[in-house]
Amino acid sequence: MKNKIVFLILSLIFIVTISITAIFVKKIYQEKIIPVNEKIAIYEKLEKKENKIDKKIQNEIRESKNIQKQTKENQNTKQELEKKLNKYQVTYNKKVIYLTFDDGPSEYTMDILNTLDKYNIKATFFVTCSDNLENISKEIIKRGHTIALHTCTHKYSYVYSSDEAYFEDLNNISNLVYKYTGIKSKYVRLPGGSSNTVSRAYNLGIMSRLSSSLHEKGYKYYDWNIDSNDAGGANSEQEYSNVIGALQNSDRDINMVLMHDTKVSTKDSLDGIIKDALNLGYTFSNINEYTKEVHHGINN
Amino acid sequence: MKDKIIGIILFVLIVFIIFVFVSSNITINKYDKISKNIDKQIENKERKIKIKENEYKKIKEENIAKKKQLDNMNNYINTLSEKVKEYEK
Repeated sequence: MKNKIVFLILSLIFIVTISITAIFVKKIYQEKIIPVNEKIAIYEKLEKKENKIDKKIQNEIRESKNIQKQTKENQNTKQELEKKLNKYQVTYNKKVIYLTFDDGPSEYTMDILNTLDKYNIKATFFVTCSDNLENISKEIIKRGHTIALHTCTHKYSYVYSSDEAYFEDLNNISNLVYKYTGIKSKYVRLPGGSSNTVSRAYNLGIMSRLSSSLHEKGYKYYDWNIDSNDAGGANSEQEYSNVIGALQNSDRDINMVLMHDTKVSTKDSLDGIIKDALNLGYTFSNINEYTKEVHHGINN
Repeated sequence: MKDKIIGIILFVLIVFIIFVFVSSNITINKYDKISKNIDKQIENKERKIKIKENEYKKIKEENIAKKKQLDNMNNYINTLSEKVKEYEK
């Protein structure tokens, strides 16, 4: 009888121990192991999501490269077509306007470039050694305009002091333009134009010599036949009427308009000038290899 | 003899209980560590995913803008071609 009781008690202790152990293990499994497994599953999901995003990014990068390639190809096609069109316009169209901007770049040049872009019009910029030449010259080229040389300093007393001084100054701006854009421009505008008389005060006969030296050195120089008079202090309304008035009376093939991208009046009047010149039936072009030179009479 | 057997059984049971207690503690600690580690990894992954999602959005937006520019350029090229064709007639 005693043995049976001992056996029963032992069995009971054994069963209770095993049950408690089982409950304990189950609790550990539910509270510790299952959450960890769930977290591992979440992590794996996140990893899959990351892989998906990686793939998407790579696809977009591939797409971006394709677009860049296409843009480059289109840029070449665009340039070729523009050149062709320029050639045809110069050859067949009696009403071509060359907008030329001197003395820049300046704080207004970007606005002027944006206005030109608005009408898909190309122009010519006769640049000097301004502070923002690097950025703006790149932008001028990027947008398909012509970059041309005006001189580095634009100081009459220096550039017209001697032939050597002029060409040294011209080389300075030419080298800077080449450094920033990779373009060796051969288009030049003499400060004050080839007809200026200011140079007489510094060197007699220099304009005659420079005009032929420029050609000998392979440059083409361009004066103008329409003056917006922005450098003379015209406000935007006066500048508009100076240009549009001259265009209305013009029977020339080439209308070379002198403007300065350093003048706020030019920035403000440009939109109206372009709009009304288009209405008058003019087409616009930038100076290019087919553009005939426009010269003033030389006075010194 | 019987007492000895009972003693041994009780001793084994006590050893078993101690073993279960110790091993479960070890398991709990181990899984706590793993859990913390995974939490950190999840947090890092989520941060990484956010950065990559932003990068993806940025590239996508840039591509959309570039495509628009390309379309504009194509239109401009078409206009140019038409003008050139007119002259070539």
